Amino acid sequence: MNRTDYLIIGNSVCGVNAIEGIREYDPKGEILVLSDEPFENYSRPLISYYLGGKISQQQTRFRDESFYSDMKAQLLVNNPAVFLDCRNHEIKVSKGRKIRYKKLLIATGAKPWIPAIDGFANHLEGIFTFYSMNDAISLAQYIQSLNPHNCVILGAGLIGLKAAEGLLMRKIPVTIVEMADRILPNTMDVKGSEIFQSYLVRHNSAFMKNDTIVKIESKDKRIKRVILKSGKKIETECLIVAVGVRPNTSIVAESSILVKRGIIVDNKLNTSVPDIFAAGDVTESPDFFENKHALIPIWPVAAKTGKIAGANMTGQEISYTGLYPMNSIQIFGLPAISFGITNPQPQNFEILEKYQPENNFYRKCVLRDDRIVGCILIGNINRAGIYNLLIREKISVAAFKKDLLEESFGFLMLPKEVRKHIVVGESMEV
Amino acid sequence: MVKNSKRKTINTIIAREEFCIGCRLCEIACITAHSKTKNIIKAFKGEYPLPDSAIVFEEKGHISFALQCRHCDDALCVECCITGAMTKKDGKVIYRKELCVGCWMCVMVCSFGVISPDITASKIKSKCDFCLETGKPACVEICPNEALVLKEDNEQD
Amino acid sequence: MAIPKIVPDFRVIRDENLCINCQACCRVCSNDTHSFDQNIAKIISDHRKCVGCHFCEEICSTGALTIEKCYSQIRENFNWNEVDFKNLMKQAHSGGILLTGMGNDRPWINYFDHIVLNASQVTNPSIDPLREPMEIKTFIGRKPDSIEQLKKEKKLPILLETEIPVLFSAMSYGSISLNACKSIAAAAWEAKTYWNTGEGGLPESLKKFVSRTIVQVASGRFGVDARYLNEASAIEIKIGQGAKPGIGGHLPGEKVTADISAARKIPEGTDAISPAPHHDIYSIEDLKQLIYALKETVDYKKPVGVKVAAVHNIAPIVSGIVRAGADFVTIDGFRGGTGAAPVVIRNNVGIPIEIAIATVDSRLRQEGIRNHASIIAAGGIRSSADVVKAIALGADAVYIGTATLVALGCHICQKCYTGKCNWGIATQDPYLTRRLNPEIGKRRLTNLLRAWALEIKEMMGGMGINAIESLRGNRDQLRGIGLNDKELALLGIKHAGDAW
Ligand SMILES: Cc1cc2nc3c(=O)[nH]c(=O)nc-3n(C[C@H](O)[C@H](O)[C@H](O)COP(=O)(O)OP(=O)(O)OC[C@H]3O[C@@H](n4cnc5c(N)ncnc54)[C@H](O)[C@@H]3O)c2cc1C
Ligand code: SF4
Ligand code: SF4
Repeated sequence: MNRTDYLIIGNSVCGVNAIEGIREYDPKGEILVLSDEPFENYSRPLISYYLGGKISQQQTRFRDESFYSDMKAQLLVNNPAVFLDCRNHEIKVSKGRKIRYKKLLIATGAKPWIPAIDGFANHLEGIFTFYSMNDAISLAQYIQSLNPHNCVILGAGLIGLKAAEGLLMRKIPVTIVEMADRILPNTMDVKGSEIFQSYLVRHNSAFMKNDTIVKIESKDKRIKRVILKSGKKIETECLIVAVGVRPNTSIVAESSILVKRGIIVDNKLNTSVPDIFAAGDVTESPDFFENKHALIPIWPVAAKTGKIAGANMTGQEISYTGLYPMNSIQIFGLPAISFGITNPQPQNFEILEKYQPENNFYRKCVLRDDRIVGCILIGNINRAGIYNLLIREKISVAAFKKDLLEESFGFLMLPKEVRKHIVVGESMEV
Repeated sequence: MVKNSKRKTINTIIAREEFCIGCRLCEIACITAHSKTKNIIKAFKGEYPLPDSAIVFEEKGHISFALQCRHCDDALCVECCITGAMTKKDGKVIYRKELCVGCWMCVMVCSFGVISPDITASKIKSKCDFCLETGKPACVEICPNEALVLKEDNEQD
Repeated sequence: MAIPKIVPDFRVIRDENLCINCQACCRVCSNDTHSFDQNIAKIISDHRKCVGCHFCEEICSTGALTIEKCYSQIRENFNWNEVDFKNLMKQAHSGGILLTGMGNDRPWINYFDHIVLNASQVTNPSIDPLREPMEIKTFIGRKPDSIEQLKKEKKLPILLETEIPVLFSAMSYGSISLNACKSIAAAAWEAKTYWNTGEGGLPESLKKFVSRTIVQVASGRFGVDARYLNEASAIEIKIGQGAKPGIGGHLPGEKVTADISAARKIPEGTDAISPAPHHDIYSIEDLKQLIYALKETVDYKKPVGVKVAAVHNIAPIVSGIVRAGADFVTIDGFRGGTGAAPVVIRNNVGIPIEIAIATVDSRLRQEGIRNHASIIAAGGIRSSADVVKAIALGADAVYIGTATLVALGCHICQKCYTGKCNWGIATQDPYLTRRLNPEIGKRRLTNLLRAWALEIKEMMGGMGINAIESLRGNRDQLRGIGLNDKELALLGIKHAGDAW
């Protein structure tokens, strides 16, 4: 039987940051990383760039080739963890091997969710999810060999649109089917969705909103047509299902670890069982705004929680203060960034917004008690991070509300004490 | 347990607005320091294109200051970079242009707003490298009124 | 009204081969001399606006700029020099009194430059200041007549103790910026000498330096109250100033900002007028009353001095002041600086400080009251050599004003009165005051004093003197060059070549 000081399941951004977190405090302890994927290191968000032909597979790495050796971490690819024995501090790996750990991190991320659709079958050719490198490689190969005349994407969320962009770069027209009445329903508000939609339409994509796929028709084990709830039929040989992800909690299913939708962790990233930490997309972690747990499957959360979990595995007591959704989207040269609560019920919030169609400039700030809780920037994203800071530090914007929407927004618009506190680091009574 | 010894004292460039005279020589020095010839006259008279300055200059009325990357301890830009283009090297946050795809995650999280995106090029315009080659940030060296100074960030614990 | 047709004073020479169009000069000039012309992509400079402060020249990072004297020459005429000609032209245009800043710039004889120092050779040994102790610590104030008297009274005299016989002279907050005051006060603190508030009161933020502060009581009584007097190290009653003897001062209401009004204890926005005379002083007796009123206020715990301009009857005037009870007398020579004075007064009123020191010292010795008060010489001290000469002529210490400002960046452009000082010194404009970083100012002033202290010790060592006490009034160490008998007699020195 193998033993290790630190065992990490999952080798994506969360796992990688955990390695770094551990090494910041413990240069020696043994680290073992298990991955059920065949690749040493790749960045999930880069798969759409790969699909679009902007970068090679080699370029999807987000850490240098020497990373694992520099970090003295042993990585086992193609080695899914299949069973967790909390009591004995043991993990069973697929080939029957057991590994004993002192501290365990579950960073198994998420997996794409596939809704029940009539006619869907796993063996059908031409139906894809868009979540992993493997997904991207098979999709790219399929397109290469078949050169389909179009592609249907189910789901107009971030991943669906990223897939769309990749395909459009390969000159394949797309039709996007979305259940909601607008695209990017979770990231954008109505105006933001509109701006993106009109922009995408100009780039050869069609939208079917308030609609979904109810039936898949196939021929020779290959998809041929999809039928929508509205009755519309679309001939296609390629369907991408991108309706969202669910925490990948299967490894803890039979354990006593507390799971709701994701694994529940406290602000030190402990699960309900000692010596077992969890972080990243697999978790429901403390929410930034409210006293509850939330699923926020984004990179910044996976990186931050991974790093803190790693540090805490070495015995540190670093607290995770919670984050909020934040996304940076750039589709066909139109950049956009959103933070936090972007589309609230207006009663309890103050909403400031500004739209200039000439230059696709849109900026919106959602305020509660004079603090920013959400923000959208489209067209001009310069200095977006300052809004992030204002949200994170809960700085009152009462004194400079009118400037928040300026294209040239910067620290100069902040009151002097606040500005000096940030810029020079002088202490301030907050 | 103590922090890994790799985390040494690092220097941060601090902008003191009460002494910034708005001459913007820091930008000129930054451009020169990152030009091919590193000679102010040759660079400005003969190099095309010139690099962008990595400084974000804010000015309103008589108040002005020049901000540059703080090379944060737990740099969010490094944490959030999806390509590894933003990376920590010897305590400094270094940008490797060739890896960048222009996803703007760094722009989203940098609390100082000092990363300026070049949207058309899908790259960062210019990123402060703390003048690693010389070890002395050119903006600090040239600032005629010591509005830009190096602050020693000692270990907190 | 037609634009005055006056030949500019300066020319801005821009070397196009070096100028990279960075526009730093355009951004920094408070006189809007330089501007970038989009159409031709070049910077244009308007010579007429240049006051010769050299700020752009120093800040230009390629050295493309040189500010030169404008050599446009009127026909040479012994009686009509360029300055008089231009001044007349300006007045014909404005119809007003011409104002200026800094000290008298006319080519009157500078006696310091006609005096040389002695050095020991064979008959007595010189001293190496690096190896042997050398004392330049100076005490300012009334000294006892004799040891016996001291023993009898059993009370130490009230003296100011300074590590170097160089003090920073009175320049008020208002005439100069707070950052300039801060630099000076902090340097005085660091170098263990004193600075003088001038008549502008003591700003709150400088109170931490109060134990190195001489406060002024001037004709406007700005900022004066019991606390101000009691906190300070010493009090100086200002009667006159070398740059404008007999003339008062006027800080226009728009310059009386909230901070200045607080320091001066007058309402914001009101004109700060210092009358020409103290309206309660019309005689030596009146002065005596004020001196003792102040001494009463501070319970005789602080020295009280009087500052006067060097004028024709300076020796008897100072004698009277000493007899009126002053613990020190500051004499300001006619090259003393100012923030604003009428050109005609500055250039034509008063006498040189060198003569004033010597005649006052002689007079007080003759009268046997030299020890009753210290003499601080001001107005025109430029170097450590001037300090040594002033002390050898009879001063106890010197005040430096213009030299202080030059160390802070001043290029003596004499435009102090415009409030547009590009160096952030003689201005209250928030765009400009930031240019003087008091950390740098303090460092430069402390450096200056350190350098002068070293040089003073070198010169003393050369003369074989190891204590500044032995230099004071030691005119035998001085010789004149190119001076006539009357001048030598007034200065009380021999001509070069005359031995013991
Ligand atoms: C196309 C795409 C674009 C995206 N773009 C963005 C973006 O722009 N910004 C953003 O913030 N987020 C983006 N995301 C989301 C972001 O990638 C995720 O939030 C992040 O990858 C989560 O990291 P993680 O390490 O928690 O989980 P994951 O990345 O899901 O990694 C979990 C890893 O664990 C492995 N694993 C699972 N179970 C086991 C097991 N039993 N044994 C061994 N290994 C196992 C998985 O195979 C996987 O490799 C994007 C995602 C996709 C798919
Ligand atoms: S770019 Fe911004 S976030 Fe990154 S290290 Fe610099 S200051 Fe910090
Ligand atoms: S824009 Fe470039 S450097 Fe910034 S996070 Fe994205 S890939 Fe990294």
